[in-house]
Amino acid sequence: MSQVNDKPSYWRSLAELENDPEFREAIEREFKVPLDQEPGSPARRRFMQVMGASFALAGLSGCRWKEDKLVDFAKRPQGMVPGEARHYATTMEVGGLAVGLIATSYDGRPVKVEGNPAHPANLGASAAWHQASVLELYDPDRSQSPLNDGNKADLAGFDEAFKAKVTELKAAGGKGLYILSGASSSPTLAALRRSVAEKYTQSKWLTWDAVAPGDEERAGTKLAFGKAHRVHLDCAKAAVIVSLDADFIGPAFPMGLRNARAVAAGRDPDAARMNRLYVVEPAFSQIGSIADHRLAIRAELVKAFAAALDAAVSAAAGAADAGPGQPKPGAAFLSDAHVAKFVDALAKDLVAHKGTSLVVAGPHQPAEVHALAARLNTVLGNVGNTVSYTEASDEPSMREQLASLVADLNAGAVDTLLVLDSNPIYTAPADLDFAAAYAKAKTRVAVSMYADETAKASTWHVPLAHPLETWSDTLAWDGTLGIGQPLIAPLFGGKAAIEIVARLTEDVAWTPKDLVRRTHKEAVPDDRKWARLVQAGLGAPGQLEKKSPKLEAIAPVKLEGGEAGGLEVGNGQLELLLTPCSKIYDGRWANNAWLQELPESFTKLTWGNAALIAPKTAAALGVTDGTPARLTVGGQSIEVPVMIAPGQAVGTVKVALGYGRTSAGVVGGHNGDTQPTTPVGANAYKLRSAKLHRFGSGLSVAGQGAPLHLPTTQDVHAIDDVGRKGTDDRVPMLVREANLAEYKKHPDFAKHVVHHPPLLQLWEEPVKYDGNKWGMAIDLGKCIGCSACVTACQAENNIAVVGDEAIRWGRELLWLRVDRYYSGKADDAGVVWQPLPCQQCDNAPCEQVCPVGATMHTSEGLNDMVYNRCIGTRYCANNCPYKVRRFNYFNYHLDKVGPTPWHGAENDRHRVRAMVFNPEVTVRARGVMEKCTFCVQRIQNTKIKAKNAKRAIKDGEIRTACEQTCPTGAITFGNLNDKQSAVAKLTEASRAYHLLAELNNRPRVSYLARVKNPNPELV
Amino acid sequence: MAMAQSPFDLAPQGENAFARITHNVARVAEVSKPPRGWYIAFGIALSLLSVFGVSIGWLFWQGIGIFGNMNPVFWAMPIVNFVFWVGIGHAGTLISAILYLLRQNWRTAINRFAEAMTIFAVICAGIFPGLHVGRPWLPYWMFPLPNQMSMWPQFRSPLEWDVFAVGTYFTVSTLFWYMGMIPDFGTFRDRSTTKVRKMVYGLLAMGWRGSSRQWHRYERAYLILAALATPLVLSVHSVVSFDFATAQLPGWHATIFPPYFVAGAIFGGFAMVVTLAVPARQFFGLKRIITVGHLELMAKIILATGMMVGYAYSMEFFIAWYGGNDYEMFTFFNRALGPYAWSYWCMIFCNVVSPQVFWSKKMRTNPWVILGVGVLVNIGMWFERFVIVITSLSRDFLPSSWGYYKPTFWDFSLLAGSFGLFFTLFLLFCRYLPMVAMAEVKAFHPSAHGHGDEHH
Repeated sequence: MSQVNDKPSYWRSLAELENDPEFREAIEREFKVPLDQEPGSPARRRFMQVMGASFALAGLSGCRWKEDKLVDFAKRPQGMVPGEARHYATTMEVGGLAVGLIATSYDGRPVKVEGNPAHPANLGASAAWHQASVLELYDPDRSQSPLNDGNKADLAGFDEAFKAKVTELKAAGGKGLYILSGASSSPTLAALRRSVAEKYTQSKWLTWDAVAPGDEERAGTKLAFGKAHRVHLDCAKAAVIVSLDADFIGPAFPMGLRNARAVAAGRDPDAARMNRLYVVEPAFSQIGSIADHRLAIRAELVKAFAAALDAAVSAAAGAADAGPGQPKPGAAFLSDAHVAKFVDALAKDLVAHKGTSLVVAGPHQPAEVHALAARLNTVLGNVGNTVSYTEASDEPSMREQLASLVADLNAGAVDTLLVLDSNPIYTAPADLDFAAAYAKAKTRVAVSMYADETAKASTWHVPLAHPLETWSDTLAWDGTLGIGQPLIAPLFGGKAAIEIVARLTEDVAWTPKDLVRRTHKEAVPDDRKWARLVQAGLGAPGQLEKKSPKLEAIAPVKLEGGEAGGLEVGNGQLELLLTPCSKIYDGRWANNAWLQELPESFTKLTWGNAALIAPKTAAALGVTDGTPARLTVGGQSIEVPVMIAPGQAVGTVKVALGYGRTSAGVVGGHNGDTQPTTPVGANAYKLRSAKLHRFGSGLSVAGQGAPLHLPTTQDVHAIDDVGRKGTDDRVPMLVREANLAEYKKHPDFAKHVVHHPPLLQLWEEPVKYDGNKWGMAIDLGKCIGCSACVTACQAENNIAVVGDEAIRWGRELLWLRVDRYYSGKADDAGVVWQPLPCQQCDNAPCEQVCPVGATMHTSEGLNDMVYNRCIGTRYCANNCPYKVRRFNYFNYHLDKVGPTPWHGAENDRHRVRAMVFNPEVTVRARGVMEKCTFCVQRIQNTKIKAKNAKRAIKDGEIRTACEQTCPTGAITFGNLNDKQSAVAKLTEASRAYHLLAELNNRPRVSYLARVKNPNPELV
Repeated sequence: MAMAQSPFDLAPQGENAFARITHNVARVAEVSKPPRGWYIAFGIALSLLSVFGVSIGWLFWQGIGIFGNMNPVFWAMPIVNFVFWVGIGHAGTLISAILYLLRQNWRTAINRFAEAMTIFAVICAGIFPGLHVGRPWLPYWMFPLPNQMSMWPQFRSPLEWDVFAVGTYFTVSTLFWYMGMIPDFGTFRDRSTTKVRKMVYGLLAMGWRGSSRQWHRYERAYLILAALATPLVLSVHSVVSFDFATAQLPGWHATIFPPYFVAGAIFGGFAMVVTLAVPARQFFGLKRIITVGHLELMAKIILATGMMVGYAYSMEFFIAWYGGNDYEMFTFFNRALGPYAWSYWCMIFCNVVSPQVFWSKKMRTNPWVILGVGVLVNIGMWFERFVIVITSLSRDFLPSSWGYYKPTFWDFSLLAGSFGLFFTLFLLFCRYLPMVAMAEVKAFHPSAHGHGDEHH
């Protein structure tokens, strides 16, 4: 593990580079531009030279792999201020879904990413995944050297072996060459794929991603239109949105972050029109949490529901050219009065909103549901308005591709299998038995960031470079080109996937930079334009041509088994729903401690997964929160603790994929030789089969004894009656809600939920707030509970990871939390969110009780923590009614910072981990209290900048980390003294209220009450 | 008080009564070997003290995460222990000062004892707040020490008030205790047979000769100190209660806290006195000095103060309902019926139910029953603080941050260790210092009034 320092050649003197003719040439074609400098400015020229040097093609003769070099900071480039943040645009994709990012780098060390506001896929927002990517970058568990049959090897050795193999394969016309790649939108990879197909005519390229969307959509649109299409939503134009088990505002959905912004913007009760959300889903999703009407039915019933909806809409809408609608399906649950009423009212609402409605099908729902969604959108005249279609490839689904690969493997047809950024041994459906088939390929090369399950079973493994370490390009769902530039040289000698593939197609080594440049040379021949493209990080948005596909007749859906069933099913017939984890996705981030420790939105579970079961089903099964249970389906079984999930469909058991890794790393669990750690959570892939790909029935659940204490950050559902009642009683006071009609009648309803005597002051306020008066407004109507803000806060503020044991103790350290409360009856529960940062009270109860004055009020209204002064009495936390203060019970950063400043970290492993620290924020040690500071470092930096420029701070110029990353724009920060500021206006809004205002703490954070827009027919 | 009912009826009587009192008390410190029981007790106490030392060492090494404290129960057993020990430290000064001012002469048999207990209890108490802070090497920052950075404590904090209240109490109690011992040190010095003893007790006696002038000065000074100490009895625990009462936490924020805490402290303090006195009079043969009559009087006080805390418990509930504050109401419901109900009912049983046996004369004159109730009340008073601190914190305003606190091994080891410290000090006191205020006992002995001999 001490390999990190074994590569001193990262650092090379500038002089050396300047004398290098290749370097000079490189400068001529250099393109790296900092965002904060105009191209062409003298400072930029100089900076480009220097930064260019870091990536110059100064390869040593005889070296097969050309190395990227970084610059020596001892010889500081002109215009580069040490310790000053620089921002670079880049891009990142997850499951083929790309977003644009802007990375913040200090002295060549990227420490934070934000969404790129110009990128159409995320509009400046980002998900917890993207926020946590910097932690992955500095993860010492990442693979640090190639492996040959599991033994450490070097790149030269791999290269030799690979070259020999390539020669052999070329001679055979590529017979026996298979490439399995993870889902990727990269045009460069696509170009290389074409090149491989040309040069190795008999080779096969397959794509596998465990949970990436797109397959069913292509199949469904083919059913509806005769040709596969890609669906593009324009949620901003939609007045009535129906989700058929589609969490289309989550980051795992194409353009999910953009959709989130659009849907939330449409939920302004003061606007002329507020959208109405109908969600039909088996388990709570983010969109379900803000739905106006939510119908919880098993995933397998959604097909029949869609058919019933089509039947009702087609009958009412009567579009002649759309062909016949579905006959009313004969599913038992549709005769339930509640469901029937729901279908009826929904159909009426849709027909009433022709052209402004939108039906979205879930990526994991079968093709028929997508086809019916396409049909409904067409019948309702939404195409071209709220939804548009572009052509999609006709390739088979990824699971078919994987199955064909396994068949070929078993047939002995595979000689060389190159696995690119995919981990099929862990993610393949259990019934394929991929591991056994994999062993039948003679040469198995796995290119992955970690020495994962697949890498361990391969003959060769090559470390993959992190997205922040290499050049890349992506295509967003709408075709927008994104260019990713490296922020740091590969820390552990990782290579880009395109670099490896290029070894197959090219005779000389290509760097990722050149490969990416080559791909776009034709479209952007001018290097200056290319430089601007790299600087912006993206090309012109929305390059795909919109089609108006013609609807074909859709056969009546076939309902089999449980699909036609009633609302309730017994044990043994339960439905298993496998979902990508909202935190670690398909398991690729199992070793990311920030994501592991992020409380899951609904269960608030950290460090593991659970079988989520509706209260009614749990009662029938005799299980409760924490009960270890054995889940059996199709002869396979796993053990996983139960969690009760109010609002989940009766009969559905939801388990998140991605856990139970055995080769993830020290954090996520691995069974390696050194420091083996137990896997976090249970591996639900074991229950997956070709038939039960994402959901299916036939599951039985058996409780196995006394409940376990799960590491949750909020109480589980099954608590004592006193607590339950106490919670239920006060939730309406904490999270205030009304229907649109009530709101229109009483716009200030939120101010009348709690009545209290006039809140007087005994004395004159000691602080006058003459200058700035920082405040925040959080719109509860916009919060979707995604918790990206929590990880953003963790990344920004150097918040320590405490681990599952500490979470079980209740010692979470996250400064910002998103409180989740259920409302209504347990089986038909609604959910409300309440993000809770420090409320920065004017009458701060914490300040008054600190005996040493370690928490003080600033002239701008912040409750500052003076870590040096704090002795840790924790009285402040006791007296805080919001319980937003967090305490360092141990020295959580000890391994990274060392016991004393002159000691440092124990070894390189931890020194690398320390690189992720934001240098602007104190790293807290043991025994001190900490809490949200409103990102005081950002406030101060902007104040300095504005003061130097002799100008006032603009509204919106300072954005807290949570605000910046929020997909829906629910958080607004600013100066309350500036009456024109967004935050001041929101604070004055009629639905603004202060949490626990009756205590006269005078909090600085206002909450905007949530307003729902239910269909009057269904109220 | 009629002589017949005097608790001194059983005290050494007859000829040379004074000499016998002196002998009875002084011989405990003079015998070359204390009774075997003392050795056993001292051994146990020392082992517990070493547990204390190890726990503190581990605490400094690891951080206060070794305790069960969590969010939202940021204060837990160390604070429970602190309040518990401060409470125990109440009876001493009450007996010394208030009963002195009230001319309750029976106090003389137990006051020394109780004062020693007070001081040791306050020592134990004082250690906990220092240990429980996150950086236990820095609590001196709470003292207003001049420094080049002009950093001062924050005087609005009740914790800062605590520093002064407990500090003052400790200082005055120690002075009071020591001054009371001066005539007895004189006696010890005069009876010394070895040079070392003579020297040490001589120094401690500060030249006491027993002259009328000295006695006169002594009595005056004692009276003044008693008058000074009297408000402290009320103030210390009132100030300690402010830690809670001035916070806005439901279950803490209550105006009843100062008197309720003081009554509870006296209650617990007396319980501790009987817990110590019953075995001590047994071991050291002091039954004729600390008589059953004394124990009975203390039992009556326990009964009376027990009823007061019982009243406070019910009044808290009444006010929670009458005040109409939802959060407060919930807190009390939660105390009695929530996850910590066991601790609440344990407290009610020990503090309210168990002292009721003292309505029976037979019970309150049986030293072993008194000892049993004393131990129960000590447990109950510990639970009272547990209930106040932990149940209130574990479920406060926002249900999202609720949590269930569980103590760890180190929480208990530190509590046990503090008993080790207490008993080590106490046993050393029994062995080397005048355990009973000889001079004062004599002053109120029937013989001192010239009619002692005629009365039996």
